[in-house]
Amino acid sequence: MRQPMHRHVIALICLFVVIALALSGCQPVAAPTAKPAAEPPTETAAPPAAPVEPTPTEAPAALMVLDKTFTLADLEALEQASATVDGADYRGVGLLAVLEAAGVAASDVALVASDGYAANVTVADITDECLLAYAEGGGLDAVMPGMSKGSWVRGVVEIREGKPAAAEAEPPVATEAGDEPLGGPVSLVDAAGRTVELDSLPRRIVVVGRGPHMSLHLLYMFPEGRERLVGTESRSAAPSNFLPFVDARFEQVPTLDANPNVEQIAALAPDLVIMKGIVVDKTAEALAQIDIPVLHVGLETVDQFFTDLANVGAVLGNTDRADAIAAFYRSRLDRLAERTATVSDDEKPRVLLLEYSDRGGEVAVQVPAKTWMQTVEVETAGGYPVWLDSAAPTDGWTVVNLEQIARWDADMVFVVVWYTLDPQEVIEGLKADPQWAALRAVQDGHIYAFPQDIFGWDQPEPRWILGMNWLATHIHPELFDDVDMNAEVMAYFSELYGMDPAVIERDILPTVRMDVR
Amino acid sequence: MSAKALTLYPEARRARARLVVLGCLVIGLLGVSLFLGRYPGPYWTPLRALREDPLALRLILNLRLPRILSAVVVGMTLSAAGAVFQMVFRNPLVDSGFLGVSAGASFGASLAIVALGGRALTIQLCAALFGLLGLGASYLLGRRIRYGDWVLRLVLAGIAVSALYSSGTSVLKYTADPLRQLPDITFWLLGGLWAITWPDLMQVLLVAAPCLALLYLLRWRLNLLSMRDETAFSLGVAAGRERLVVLLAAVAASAAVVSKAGLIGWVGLIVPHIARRWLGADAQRALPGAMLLGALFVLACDNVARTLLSGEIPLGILTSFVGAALFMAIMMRREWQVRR
Amino acid sequence: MNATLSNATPLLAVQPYAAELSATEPAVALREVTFRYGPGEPPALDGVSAEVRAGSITAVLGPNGSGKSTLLHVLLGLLPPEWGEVRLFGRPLSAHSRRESSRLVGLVPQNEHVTFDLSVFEYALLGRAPYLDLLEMPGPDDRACAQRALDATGIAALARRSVPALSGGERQLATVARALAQEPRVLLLDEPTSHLDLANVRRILGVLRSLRADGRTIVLTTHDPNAAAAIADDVLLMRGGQVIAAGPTGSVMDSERLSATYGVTVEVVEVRGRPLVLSHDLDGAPDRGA
Repeated sequence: MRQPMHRHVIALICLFVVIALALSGCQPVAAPTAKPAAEPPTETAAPPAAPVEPTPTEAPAALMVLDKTFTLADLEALEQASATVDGADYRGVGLLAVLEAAGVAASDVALVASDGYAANVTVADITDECLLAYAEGGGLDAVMPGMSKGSWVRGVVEIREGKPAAAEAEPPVATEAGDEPLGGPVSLVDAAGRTVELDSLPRRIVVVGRGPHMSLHLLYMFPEGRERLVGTESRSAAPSNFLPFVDARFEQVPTLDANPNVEQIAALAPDLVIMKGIVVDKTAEALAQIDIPVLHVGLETVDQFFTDLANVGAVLGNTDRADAIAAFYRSRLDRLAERTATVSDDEKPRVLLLEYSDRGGEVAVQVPAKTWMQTVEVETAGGYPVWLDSAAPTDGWTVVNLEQIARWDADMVFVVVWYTLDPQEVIEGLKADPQWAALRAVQDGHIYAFPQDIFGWDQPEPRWILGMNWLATHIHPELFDDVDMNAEVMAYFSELYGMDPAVIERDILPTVRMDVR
Repeated sequence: MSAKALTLYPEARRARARLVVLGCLVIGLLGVSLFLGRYPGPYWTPLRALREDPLALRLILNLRLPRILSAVVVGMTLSAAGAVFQMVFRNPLVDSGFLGVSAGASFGASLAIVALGGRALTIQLCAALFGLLGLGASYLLGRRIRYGDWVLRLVLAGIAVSALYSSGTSVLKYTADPLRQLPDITFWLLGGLWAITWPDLMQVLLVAAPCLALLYLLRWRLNLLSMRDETAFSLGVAAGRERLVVLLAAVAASAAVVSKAGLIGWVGLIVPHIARRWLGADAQRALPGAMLLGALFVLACDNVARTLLSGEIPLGILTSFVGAALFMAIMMRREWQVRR
Repeated sequence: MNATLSNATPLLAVQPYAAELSATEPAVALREVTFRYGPGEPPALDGVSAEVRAGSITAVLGPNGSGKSTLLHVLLGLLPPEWGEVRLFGRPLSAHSRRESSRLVGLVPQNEHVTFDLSVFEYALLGRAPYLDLLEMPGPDDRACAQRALDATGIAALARRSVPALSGGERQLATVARALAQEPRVLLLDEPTSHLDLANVRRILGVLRSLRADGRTIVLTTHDPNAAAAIADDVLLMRGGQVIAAGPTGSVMDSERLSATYGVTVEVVEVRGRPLVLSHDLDGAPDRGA
């Protein structure tokens, strides 16, 4: 009588159990390649400019032992070994030979895989049969006959001096004692008001959360940041459009899918996680449960930016560089402040900054939130942001209609164009639209597309200083006629990112759109 | 015949055996779930990692263990609450999502975050209070609707009350401080267990455990409470009072769970159904059965949510997906009219 | 579908306080009971006084709205009378606790709606509630009693069936079984035979007779005078909330009284020693049935 339904139920329950058991029967997953979780990112941003190939690199390093780098050719030149275990044949370079060639003297070494997993091995236990086998796809797999399976690390990329496994209370496996600590301890208060205390400077940094590219652009101003980044999250704006020009190694950094699991972050074995936000994230709390520190950066206001800058400099151990960067920003800010001080509030032009987008075929025009960087940019540049008039408290972009725009009667209109659109076309389209053409600002010719290079200059990422300067030259042209924006752009990328002028000219300048009106 | 009845009759024996099976399944799945995750690699954490990797051990003890236990608590609570609502309101088609309880709890939590300081205790209290108000409003409104039979009326009323609360929550979101309060509210509404910690679990258990224990002890009594008032009275049952106690327990536990796990729907609707079909409609067995089945269901969904992809899948989406599919399957069976 | 009743049904369990109950007092006595459903409403029961002999079957007859169901609910204690007193075995109803009175008086409501698929046995088991504490589960004794109740009503074969799936007559019997599991001394039935076909009516009436043989007191309301005539020892005639007549069936059920009760002309004839009620249609031609 009851069979049909209860059979289904049993089947479902069995299905759950079977899936669970089947997953449990899986072999431990092989150490992934350089991008372990890189399924195609869910949202990919089409680069606004034609992609430029990064400069080609030399022959890739296959293995790092202490400070020495070995290519595959180097390894093949050493004494080879072979072994047969459980019926499988392995061929590769003898492990003892590698250790000898690198001059390893410690009693214990750690075999480190590219995903951070490390296995401790006592050197005295290593036999002539132990080898690093050449795996398909160019990796190295440790084959250790007679030793525990835990030491059979697949995808070995590094060998370090390690502590004996019996030692307790270690920090995350990837940082082995035997490396000199980079420095520290460090204690600071981050943008979320949390006290971050680190015993030693982090070696492995992961950037996740909202708008990771903003934090990354800040991090990459420091050479240490570029070296120590071991993972990031892919969100809609693809930092791979810009950061490879700064440092080609960025392409090797593993990218997690959006909203990664805490465990997925932990799998990268980070010493520090950087997240953008001024509210403590739940993810940050969870990371705290497993003793992974989190640094929050705010980036939304000028003061926050300087605090974040100082914090990042502190955790990277390069406060000098942080000061230099701060000086760069301050000089521009001081100039802006001095010159706009002469302008009284009544004289400040009424400025409207809009975002124009046609997501999903719907044209939408929006104004930014009052606390956002866009508003700050306009104010600092000596303009009055007209959207402050409206009382609506919102958490983001607010859609406005033409009536409201007309009511505001701005002197100038700046349009931030959504990255899939061409700024020129958008501006032309707006000027041709009779409703827009009726606006005073458009009639006076004061409608501009907000400038951008690969990334827009309006966002709370470090480029805001460029946006501010540019705005100032347009809002108060007479006060800033000596400012050469081209020179500013050059200075920005060369001083802050250490990029070669030739590289800037070839890769960045073609993407700069500053004069669309 | 009479002699046979002195021992447990076959249905009861069979149901009891099935309960034991369910219990074992829950424990088994809990054990397996400890090793499912995405550290150090996708899906499976090998045993050796426990011995050799202190981070793995910390991760399992501080993140995975509270999380899978929370999934079990969520499953038990939502199913038990659903079973209680269905019996007390004599309506096999309701769960807390349909009765304004979840929406009310969300509204209460948002209110606590925006206007009352946002401390954990305040959030829980407000969630419980507004959940109860939502339930009461749905019930009273259902009695006044002039369309359809009781089953339909209650569902309609519940939907209306939920909608009202949802718009209230949206208003609160709109007025919330965008930088501090809003992310809390948004997280809350999305739901999911992705950052449950031991303190979170303890806070939930503080309320949910006694409530669930009470419901378990009253499981036979629930049968009586699903009778009409005159029948219950004739059996010496203070129906009004006992129903209130049972509803309070269900709402309080649900609110505690919703306050930590966000909105997770369909569990309270589907699981009691399946439990009744598999274990008989007697609440003495159907209630514990629903609790165990709910634990299995939510734990399995949560395992998928945190393991399948490198990103988190919101738990509510999975439970809705599976729950809605099961619901459609059940509704389309010929036996629906007869075998509820 | 035979009304095979087990003659081996054991007698009532003797309640602990049964000794206090008077053996001579009527099982149920009402004195000037008045009840209104709402403040401005006309009384549903107006100064009703009546007595029900222990161990008898009393039928309450009357047209719709005469207060029959209200009377049962007042007897049950569900509706508190505005005026007057109800006594059970000489003791006022209000002096009994809820538990006590539910062990004394059982109710078989008119149409009990069971939403969920309880089996008949589990349903009968619900009747044990008055003997269980709040947190107590039914035990083997309770199950034995439920089984006896099923046997007494002759539906032991249906024990595994689901209640909502039963036919009307079977469900009615199941409800009686549930009330029997309470082991009440007084059984109240609200329109037990309406909606039932002839065979089922006979079955129910047969069960009631055997219950009377057990020593239980039975009060039933019905709008079928012939059913009352077939089974009742005493009859209460009600109209407009008042008792028009009360007494043994043979003497109370005559043509004038019944016509006055129902407001239509009826004729009572005697067939095989029992009254048979005929109701006339408009043109005066005799018409069988009720």
